[in-house]
Amino acid sequence: METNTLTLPKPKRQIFILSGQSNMSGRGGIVRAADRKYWDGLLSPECSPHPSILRLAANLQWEPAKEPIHIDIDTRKACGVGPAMAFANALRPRVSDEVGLVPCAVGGTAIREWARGEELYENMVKRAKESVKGHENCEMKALLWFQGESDSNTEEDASAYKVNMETLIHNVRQDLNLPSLPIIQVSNITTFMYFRIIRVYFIGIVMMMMSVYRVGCLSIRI
Amino acid sequence: MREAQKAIDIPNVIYVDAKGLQLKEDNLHLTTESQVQLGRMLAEAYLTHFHASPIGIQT
Repeated sequence: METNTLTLPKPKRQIFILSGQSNMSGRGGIVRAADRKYWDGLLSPECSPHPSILRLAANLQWEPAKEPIHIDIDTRKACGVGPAMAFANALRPRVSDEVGLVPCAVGGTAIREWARGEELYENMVKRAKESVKGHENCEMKALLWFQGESDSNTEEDASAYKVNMETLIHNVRQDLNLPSLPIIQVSNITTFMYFRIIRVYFIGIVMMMMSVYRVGCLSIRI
Repeated sequence: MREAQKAIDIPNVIYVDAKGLQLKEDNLHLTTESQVQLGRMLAEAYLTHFHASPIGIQT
């Protein structure tokens, strides 16, 4: 019986950086128990694992990807379902290559924490470089960025966002030596107005409590 | 804020609008279903803008 000694070419891998804050990391299916939050473990077929979808773990090793994708990256919070697996599953049949995901998002982070020189930024660049290093079949394809909720609390942060984001785009492209790296930004889901309304309500409640307190003091004196 | 994000005008930088996706009770985070929807939107945006048409399917 003949043995087949033909070696198949290594499949190509298309690499995507996932970065930003909690909604890129994933909080889908996180439920609150008395003393902690945890993921309910529920998956739809669109975000199920597939042999052609891999992720770069925190230890910089490739492994089969499965939710929660950011489990060892966004370690301060409970991670659940994010957009990455659904993205990779939708892409996979159309690109006919492996899809390599590089999770970098961390919940609650503001854009100043993603400035060049900051830990989060440097870690993202390091992971992105590592994902293509020594693998001639790996090609960096895009950065998916979902961040900005933490910059919506004040008018100052919100108005500085455009310039800060443009700087980030410039820095990432320069540091990865990919001057036209595609970047897909996801818009904020909440608006500045939302936070402003909350703030107005909060201030209103505080003022109301203060006046109740004053009235209380007065009545005690009386 | 959304205006600031939309106003970024740099080649090969595109914008996907997540407004209208269903949020959890905390009004901040997307549900599993809306994350799946967002994943599909991201894939569609990538394929439309950045993925070259395979040979033979070009129109």
